[in-house]
Amino acid sequence: MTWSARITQSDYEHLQQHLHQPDRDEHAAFLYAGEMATPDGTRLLVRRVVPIAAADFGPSDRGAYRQVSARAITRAAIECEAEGLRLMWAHSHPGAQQCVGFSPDDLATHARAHPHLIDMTGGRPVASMVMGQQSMAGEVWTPDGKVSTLAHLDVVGARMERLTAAPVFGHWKSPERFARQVLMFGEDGQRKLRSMTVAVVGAGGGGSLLVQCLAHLGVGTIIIIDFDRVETTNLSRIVGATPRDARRRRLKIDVARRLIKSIDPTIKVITSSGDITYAADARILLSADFIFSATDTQFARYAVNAICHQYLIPGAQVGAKVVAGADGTLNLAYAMYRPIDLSGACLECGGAINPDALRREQLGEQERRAQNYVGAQHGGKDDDIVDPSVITLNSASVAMAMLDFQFAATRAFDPGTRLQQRIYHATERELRDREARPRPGCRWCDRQLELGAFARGDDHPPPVLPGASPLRTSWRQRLRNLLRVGEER
Amino acid sequence: MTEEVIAVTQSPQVPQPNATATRPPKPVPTVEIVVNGKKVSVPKHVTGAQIKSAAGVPADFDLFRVHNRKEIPVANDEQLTVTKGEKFIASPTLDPSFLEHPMQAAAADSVRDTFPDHTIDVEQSGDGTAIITVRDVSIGEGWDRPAIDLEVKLQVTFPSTPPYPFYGPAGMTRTSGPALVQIQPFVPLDGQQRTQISLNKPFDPAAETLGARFAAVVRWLRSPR
Repeated sequence: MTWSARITQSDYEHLQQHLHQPDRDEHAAFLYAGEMATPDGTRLLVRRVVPIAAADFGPSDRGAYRQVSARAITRAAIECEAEGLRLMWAHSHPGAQQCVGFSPDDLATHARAHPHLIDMTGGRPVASMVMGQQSMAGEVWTPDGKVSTLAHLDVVGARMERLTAAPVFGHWKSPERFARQVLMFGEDGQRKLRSMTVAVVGAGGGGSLLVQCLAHLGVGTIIIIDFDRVETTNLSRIVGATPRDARRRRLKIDVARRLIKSIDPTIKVITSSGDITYAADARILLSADFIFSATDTQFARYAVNAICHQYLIPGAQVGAKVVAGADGTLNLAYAMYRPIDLSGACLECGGAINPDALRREQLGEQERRAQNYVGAQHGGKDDDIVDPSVITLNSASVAMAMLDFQFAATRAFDPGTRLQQRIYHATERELRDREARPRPGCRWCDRQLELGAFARGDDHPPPVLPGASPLRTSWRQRLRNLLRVGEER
Repeated sequence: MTEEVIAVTQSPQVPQPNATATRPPKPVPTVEIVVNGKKVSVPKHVTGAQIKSAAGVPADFDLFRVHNRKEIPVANDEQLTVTKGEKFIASPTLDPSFLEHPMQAAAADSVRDTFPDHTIDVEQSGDGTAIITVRDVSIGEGWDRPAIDLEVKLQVTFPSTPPYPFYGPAGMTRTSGPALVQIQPFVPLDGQQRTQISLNKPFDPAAETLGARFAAVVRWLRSPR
């Protein structure tokens, strides 16, 4: 089983600023972490960084260089135990750059102290990291007495990077098709994109554009989830959809898969006709390195926001809005992109989730009709009103999101970059940034909130409906649908 | 520090035969407390050292009483009256160092001592080697640049193997005087180009430090022969 860890960009910068100070001396910090199971093993999710003050990091009286005081450790253990988190601690090797490793003193202190730290923190694993300027080596000690290597530390946010004990030189050489963009990203950047798994929630107008871009960029694995089927009215927006798909009522995910394979057959495509508002279906997202949300529903948006923060998976939401009057006049038309960079406000704090609409979406048909007060003014059809939609606005939203994704994935943004919500007001021809601030007490992005879900991983129950979606189409049904000779609706 | 060992009892003590006693000794009342998450029975009146001993944690750990999520230090000889279920934490210290190889660490220290006004970087690689760099060393006149980052790669077998060769930035050239055979301006070092400075003299770690060897290389660069 492989152990790894994940940390947000802001926490990573906070940690490194403390560990690598201008005095070029050694420094240390505690990290409190949640935990999640991944297909490869177990991932620690850093929820909080607690720098160790100089007073608690004096000279060692055991022959090593420095010593973290027992009192500081006890304080950290009490906090971890109370919050049900795992204790990690990190110290710097100030001269180390791209390679770093534990010293004999470090390993001796692990052997002496870690079994007791496990007891002190409620029998949970304890991890240690040594940090170079661009490198990390780590160990995880578990209650069964095993010692495992912490294989890598992933930094997630506007500058995604993977820290290891020494540089990893991959053997993958980018094919000629990427020659022009390699001039921009470099081989390293292209390799990074190839190694990524990116999920797209919703394969409609915005989702199909995202999928197309990801395939052209050369992302290695694409996960698509959508239970909906192609209709004739979708053909103006879903890239790759044909009249035949509409006649056959083909699943949108099957159209997306065909689109990706037509662009690059070597890309691994994972599709699900499930609904991420159900826990069993949402698990497909947990192996993703990035999640795009391109859904119309508030509940799906809520689920993406929750999963991103609970499991430290960065993401973005794309969307467009057109409001036309009954007389056909255009009142409003904008494309919006909202990043989920995990260092700032979540979608809920950013105003992307309408609480009333979210509530209504979870009502049964009868309840919804009974509660549809506004709808009554429109002849009881409020929730069934079809919004205008057009591919050009979807494209504007997707372009903004993909640009940030591409720069974040290839580490092209400067350290300290924070991503903002961005709105293109098409009628006014104006691009605006909107600053969203985390609300104190937010369940998703306030990491001081003891009951908050930020970086809790599997420790907290999934924030969605239990079980699997009843709308999910079985493989047998999907195959039958694909093989069926076209029939007119 | 002496370690006090106490008898830990979970059931009433069995009276021992005693020829002089007329009444059996009173059993010592014990209380179950929690130390590092584990239940431990100790006398109601107990010292810090006795709690550590009963919990089986090393005597040099520091003991803290946990109350309202705060840690209150308990000295070894401090007498406590404990209550059932009371929580304690006995904590070790964490003692890290920052060079894997003790000989390389000592060598880096000697370089820091020799060049106190310069930044010294120590980069370790996964194979046990370490590159030690003295930043911005003045190398005098006659070169195409006034100062360089001077570095040497120490093998895992250092100091049995000497600190050789030294390296400067790629493309170092003389601007006056004859070309020097000791200078090779483009050689690879860990995938990057460097200027190799080949001054190979025996290295006796008993008589010479790495800092002194760095200083000798700098002296040579300032007046090469």
